[in-house]
Amino acid sequence: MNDDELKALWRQQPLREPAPAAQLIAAMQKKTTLLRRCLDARDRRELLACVFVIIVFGSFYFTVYREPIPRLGDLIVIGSTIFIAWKLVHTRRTTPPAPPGATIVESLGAELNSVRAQSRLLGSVLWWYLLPGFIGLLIATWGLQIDLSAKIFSTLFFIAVDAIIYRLNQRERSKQLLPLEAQLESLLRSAETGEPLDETQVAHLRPLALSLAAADQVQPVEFKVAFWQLALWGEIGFIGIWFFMMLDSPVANEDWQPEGQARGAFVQDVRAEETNRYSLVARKVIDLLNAGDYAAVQKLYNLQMGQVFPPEKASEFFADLMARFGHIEKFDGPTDNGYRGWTAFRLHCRQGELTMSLALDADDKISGIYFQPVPRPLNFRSLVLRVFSWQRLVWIVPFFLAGLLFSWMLQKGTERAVGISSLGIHLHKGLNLLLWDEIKEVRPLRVLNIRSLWLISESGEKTIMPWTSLERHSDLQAAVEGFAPANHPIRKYLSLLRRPYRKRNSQFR
Amino acid sequence: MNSTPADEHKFLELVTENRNRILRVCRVYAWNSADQDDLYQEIVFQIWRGLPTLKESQFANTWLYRVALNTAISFTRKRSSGFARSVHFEHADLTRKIESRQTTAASANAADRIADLYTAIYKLDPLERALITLFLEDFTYEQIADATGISANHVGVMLHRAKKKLSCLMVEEAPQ
Repeated sequence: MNDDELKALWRQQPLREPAPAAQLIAAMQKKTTLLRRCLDARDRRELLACVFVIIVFGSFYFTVYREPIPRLGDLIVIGSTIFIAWKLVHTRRTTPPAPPGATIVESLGAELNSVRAQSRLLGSVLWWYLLPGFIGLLIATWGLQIDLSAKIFSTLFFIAVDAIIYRLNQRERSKQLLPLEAQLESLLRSAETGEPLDETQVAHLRPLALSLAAADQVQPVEFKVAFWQLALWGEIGFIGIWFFMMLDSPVANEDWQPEGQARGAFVQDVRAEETNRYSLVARKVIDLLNAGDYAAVQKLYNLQMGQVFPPEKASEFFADLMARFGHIEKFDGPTDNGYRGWTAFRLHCRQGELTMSLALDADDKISGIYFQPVPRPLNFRSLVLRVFSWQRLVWIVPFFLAGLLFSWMLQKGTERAVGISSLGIHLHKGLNLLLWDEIKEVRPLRVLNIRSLWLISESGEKTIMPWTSLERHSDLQAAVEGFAPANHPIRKYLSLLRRPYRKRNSQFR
Repeated sequence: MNSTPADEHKFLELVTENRNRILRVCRVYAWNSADQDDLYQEIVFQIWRGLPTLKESQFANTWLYRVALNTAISFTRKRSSGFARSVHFEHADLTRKIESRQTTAASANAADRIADLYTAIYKLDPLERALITLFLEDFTYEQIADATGISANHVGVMLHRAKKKLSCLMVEEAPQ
C-alpha cells in the first residue's frame, strides 16, 4: 500500500457521532468549574493542614510548653510547617504545565521538569519535610519535665513515624516517578535528536495486548467491600477508644481509693515540741490565707524561698488555690508523712480538701510549702454518673464521625482486589492485572484481623492483595479454585479462608 | 474561562470543523470506545481552555493538532502510569468484530484494512504515532515540525523510520 492509498484509507474510515453543540458547551463550562474547584480545594487543603498544625502547636505554646526550651521546640515545629507549605506551593508554581498550544517537545519538557521537581522533593524529603519538625519535637519533648522513659518512648515513636514516611516516599519515587522520568527523558531525547527510542522504554510505553480468545473469560469475579462493612469495624474501634479514654480519667486520678486509706495516715504521732512549732505556723498561714493577705504569707518564707517565690508569684498562686478550694474551715494534723517527709496538715476547705506540707528552718521560717488536693472518694453510682456525664457523652459525636472518616479513608486508600479471572488477579479497580504466570511466589501478611497476601513476581516485585475477612470467603474460594492454574502457589492459602457456612440442620441430615 | 457568546461560537466552529480529525487522534491513542470518549472530551476541554491564547486563526489547524497530540500523549501516560500493566484486547480482532456488525459485506474489507492500520499504529511509540497521524492528515514536513517542535530534518528521519515500521507491522497484521 503506497502513501496515497494509506491516506485515502485513513480519511474514509467511519467515525462515531460526538455530542451535540449545546451539550458540548455545557460540558465544558461544567468541567472548567470542576477544575477550578479542584485546584481551590487542593490549595485549601494544604492551607488547612498548615493552619491546623499551627493552631495545635500554638495552643501547646500556652498550655503544655511553659518552659523556654519546649517553647523553642514548639516554635521550630510551627516554623517547619510554614516552610513545608511554602516549599510545596513554590515547587508547583515554578514548574507549571505547558500551555495548551505548546509543541510536543515543549509539552514533554514541561512535564519532565514537573516530574523531576516532584522526584527531587521526594528524594530530599528527609531534609525539608521530616527533619525540621523532628528536631522541633525532640527539643520540645526533652525540654519537658517528664519521665526519662516517656522522653525515650516519644523519641522512638517520632523516629518510627518518620522512618515509615521516609520509606513510603522513597518507594513512591522509585516505583512511579523515576520510571516516568526515564520515559519522558527518552521521549524528549528521541524528539530532539531524531534517534529511535530506547527499547526498554518502548516496552513500558506500549500496553500489553491480549488475544481475543481470552476475552470471553476475562471478566473477573468481583469482590467489593461495602462501606458499612468497613464502618462497622471502624466504629467499634473508635467508640471503643472513646469508652476507654472515658474510663481512664476517673481511674487515673485515684478516685477509686477508699476513704480510710487516705485519712488513716493522720493518726500517727509527731513529737510534741515539733507539733507546737509547726501548728503555730500552719495556723498563721491558714488565717492569712482566709483573710486573703497573701503577701503576708510570703513574708513567712525564709530567704531562699522568698527569692524563688517573690510576692507576685506567691500571691498569684494562693489566689488561684483559694479560688479553687474556697475558705479553709478547719484543719487536722500535724503528721510527718507529708510531701518529701515534711510535716503535713489536712485542710478542710469549702470545696474540697487539701494536704499542706510544711518545712521550717531553725528560725521557724518556711523553707518549703506544698499543697496537694486530697482525692475525693467515689462510690460506684457516682462513678457511673461521672463517666456518663454530658461533658463526656458529647465526645461520642466526634469519635463517631472520626470512625466514619477512618472507614471512608480505608475504603478509598486500600483499593481492594476487584477480582480474579482466568488471566490472573485484577487489582486497583481492575486496572492492574497480574497474570497467573507472573506470580512466582505468594506470602501471607497478617495485621490484626486483616489478612493480605504478597504476590511476588520473578523480578522480586511485590504487590499486596487483600485476603481479608471482609470479602465473602466462599466467593473468593470459588474464584481461586475455578481460575487459578493447578499447583499455583496461591492455592496454598485457601486454607486461611473460612469454610462456607452450612446450616446446622443440614449437618444432621 | 468566562466565556462570551463570541467565544462559544468560535469554539463550536473550530470543534465542528475539526471533529473528524480529533476523533481520529482519539482512535490512535485511546483503544476502547470509553477511553476514546474520555480523550475526546479532554482534548475538547483543552481547546476550550486554550482558545483565548490562539491569536491568529490561520494557525488554528496546527494549534489544534498540538493541543490534541499533547493531550493524547499525556492521557496515554497517565492511564498507564502507576500500574504494572493495562489490559487491552487485540485491537484488530475486536475492531473487526465491532465494525463488521455495522458494515455490509462489500465494505468489510475496508473495515479490516482500517483495523489492521490502527493495530499497527498502536504498536508504535507515542512520538511515532504522532508523526504518522500528522503524515496521514497530509501535513508537510515543515508543518509536522511546527506542530511537534521536532526539527524538520529529524521529522524526515523519524517519519521514514516510522513508516517502514508501520508497513512491516501491517504486513504482519494482514490476514494470511
